[in-house]
Amino acid sequence: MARHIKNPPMGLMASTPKRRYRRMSESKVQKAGKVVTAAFVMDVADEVTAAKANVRRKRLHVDSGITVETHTATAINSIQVAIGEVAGAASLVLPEAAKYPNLSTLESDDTWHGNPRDMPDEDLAFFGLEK
Amino acid sequence: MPSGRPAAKAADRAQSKQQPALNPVPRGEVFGFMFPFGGTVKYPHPGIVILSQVGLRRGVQKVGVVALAITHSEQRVSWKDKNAVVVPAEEKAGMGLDGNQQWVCLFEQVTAYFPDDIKRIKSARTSRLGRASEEFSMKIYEAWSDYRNSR
Repeated sequence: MARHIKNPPMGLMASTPKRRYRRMSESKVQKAGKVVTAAFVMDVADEVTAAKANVRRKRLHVDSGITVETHTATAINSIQVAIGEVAGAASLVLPEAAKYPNLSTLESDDTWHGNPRDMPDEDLAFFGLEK
Repeated sequence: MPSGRPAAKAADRAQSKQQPALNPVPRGEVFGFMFPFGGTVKYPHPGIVILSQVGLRRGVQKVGVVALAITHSEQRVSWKDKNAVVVPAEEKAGMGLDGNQQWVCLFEQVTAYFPDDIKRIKSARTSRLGRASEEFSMKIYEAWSDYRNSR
C-alpha cells in the first residue's frame, strides 16, 4: 500500500514525520508568542507613558507594526491571550476616581498643584526654601 | 516663623490679639487632598504632609502646608532618578491607607494655605486619615528635597 508522506523519514528509526512537524510548529508558536508579547508590552508601555490617561486597546496587526508569521490557529490564540493580559495590566495607569472612593478632602481656596521643581518663588519664600 | 523683621513681628502680635494662635501641621500627617496628576480633572488621593509653616501670605497670617500624593498606580522606582517611594507595609495602618501597594509621588505636590489652624477647619476632621512614623516621614521629606534639588 502506498503511503503519502510529506516529509520522508530519515531512516527506519525516525519518528513519524507528522508528529515532528507539529512539535516544530509548536515551538515556533511559543517563540512567536513571547516575542510578540515582549514587543507589545514595550509598545504599550511607551504609548501609555505618552498618553497618560488614554489607553487604547491596540489591534496587533494594524498599529503595532509587528508581523507575525503563524502556521497554526494555536499561535493566534496564544497572542490573543497575551494581548488580554497586557491590556489588563495597562489599566493600572488609568485615572483613579474609583480607587479612593468616598475619600473626604482637605480643601482651601488658596492652593497650588504641580511638580516640586516648579514651585513658585512666593511659596519658596514662605517656606524658607532655596530655589 | 519669620524672624528679624520688626514690622512683621508687630503685625503678628496685632493679629494674634484678634485670632487664636496658628500651629503648623506635623510632618507625616495624612489627609485627603485633590490632585490633578498633570491633567485638568482633580481626583481625591491621600496626601502626606512633608512641610508646614505659619507665616504671612499676602499680608495675612496663614498655615502653609506642602503634601505629596499617594497613589495605587504602579510607579517606576529607580535609584537613578527616584520619583516615587513605596509605602512600607507596616506604615499603612497608621497612615489610614488600605492594604494595596501604594507609592508616595515625589513629583505630585499640593501647596495649600489655611487662614485658620487646621484643627479648627471642618474638613480637616473628616479628611484626616492618619500619620506616618517619624522615620518614614523624614525619609519622604529628604527624598522630596533631593528630587526638588536635582536637575
